[in-house]
Amino acid sequence: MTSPRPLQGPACSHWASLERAYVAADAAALAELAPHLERCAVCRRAYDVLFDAESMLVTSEHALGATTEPTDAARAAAPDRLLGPLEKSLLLHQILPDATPQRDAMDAVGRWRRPLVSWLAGAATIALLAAMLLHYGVGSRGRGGQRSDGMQSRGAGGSSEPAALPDVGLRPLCIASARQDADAAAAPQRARVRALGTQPLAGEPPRCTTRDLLGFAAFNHGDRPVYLTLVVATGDHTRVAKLLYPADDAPAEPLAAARDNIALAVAQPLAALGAGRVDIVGVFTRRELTAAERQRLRRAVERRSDLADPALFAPSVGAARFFRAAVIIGE
Amino acid sequence: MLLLEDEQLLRRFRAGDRDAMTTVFNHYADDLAHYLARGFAYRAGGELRHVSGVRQRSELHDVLAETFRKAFEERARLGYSGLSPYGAYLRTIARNIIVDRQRRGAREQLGTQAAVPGDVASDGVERELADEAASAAETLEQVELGALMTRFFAALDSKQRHFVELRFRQGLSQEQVASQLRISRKRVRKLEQTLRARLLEALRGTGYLAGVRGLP
Repeated sequence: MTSPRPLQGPACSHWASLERAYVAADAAALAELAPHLERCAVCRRAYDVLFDAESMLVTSEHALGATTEPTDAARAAAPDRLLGPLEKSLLLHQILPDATPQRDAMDAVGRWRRPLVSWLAGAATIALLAAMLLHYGVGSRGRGGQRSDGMQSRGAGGSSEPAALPDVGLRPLCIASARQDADAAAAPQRARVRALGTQPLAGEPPRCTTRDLLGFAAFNHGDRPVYLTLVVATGDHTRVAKLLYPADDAPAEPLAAARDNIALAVAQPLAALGAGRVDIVGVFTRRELTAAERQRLRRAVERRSDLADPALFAPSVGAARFFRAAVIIGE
Repeated sequence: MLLLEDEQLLRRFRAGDRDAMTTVFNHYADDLAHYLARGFAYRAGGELRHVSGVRQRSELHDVLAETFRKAFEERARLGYSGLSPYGAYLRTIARNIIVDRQRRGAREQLGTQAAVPGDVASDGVERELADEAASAAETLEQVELGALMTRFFAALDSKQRHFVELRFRQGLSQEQVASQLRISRKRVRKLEQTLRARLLEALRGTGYLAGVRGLP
């Protein structure tokens, strides 16, 4: 017997999350990591080994051959199984994301407690709704779940779900580069940064000049990491949309939990976008968007399509929170 | 034959009832996984072509998820007549997904060849040899992994083995296992977590998960 071949390649920090999700049988967390597996050969290889090993517990000529034969009833119940219980809940979560977590949550309590749990869940929902109405005001929200701070949220089924991704946001910045400042003798020898604010929908969009750079700072006050995808659409007439972050085919770094003022590696020269109005759309998600989803988002921004369209992202994305802002680029 | 036999289930499934869709998924997922893992033949332009089975688990999951997502879209659910076997309907969707991917892959490969001119014939032979070597390595790895799992299973105590039999082999839900073993659902979850952690440890101990940074 030869010794097993070790995995080659550099370590990947995502693997710790994958291990945790695997041991806890957390289908939702595993589904969130699926886009990463598309890109990371190290994690994909280890994932394959892990589930291959588990499947041998299921098909089990290997593992169960040494023990008692399964009964006829067991054979009839599961004649030719290949997928383990975690694989099935993972797949179910990817196919029907709304269904599985709820079922797991209900399965986790005993039957006798279910009516009580249902009653408490109902009461909690009413309390949450009341708190939200008090916080935001009944008439303050615009059409389609749009909020006065430029944020818009979406559930997996396209419904508005404001509580799904709370406490995340984006601050676009108008940056005058140090080099340009140095060119002008009177200008301070440091980068001027103007935050464009997060309430552009309330009035006239803020103005930048073509000499400026467009940058972004994000915050995530929640307790779990989130991913951000940014698209910018230029020109009222031409409407060309560009994926600003992450760059094409590049993996996105998650925005760590409980962090404020996270600088994104984006510095878009506004001269390249040309004068006129620029629309910015950001989407926060629990998992990284796939390349196909990024392109669908870009096209939707280009066409001004409905961003709450459930067909935009695979159901496994779960809830998403959109950020919209506009900037006027002057000469 | 599930949807052919149960008219009420078919109605609920077509209406988008999530429980019905879960039932349908649980009924057909294993069969479809076997079909994909075995490989299949299909006819294109009068020629019989063979597609080898999906080897990687991640790819198997990916194709299964995409197949069911397509099959569970409203248009597809309403388009299913309920008169022909649903398993065959799913296999057709899965087959199309795989064939499409292979065609896309072939196109990309052709693009690469055009960009780097060379001896195409010898390149084809080299690729075939490389594929064969990869396939042999995977087979060897499966044998090794099988032996490792046999040792892993042998090291479990009788209670854990019984748990594996019920939960993994028979595919019972955690609640059903709890009822059979007369323990709480929470205890079942704990048992499962312990088992998975041990499995992970066993794989790490033999070098299988070397190269990825794990939990401290």
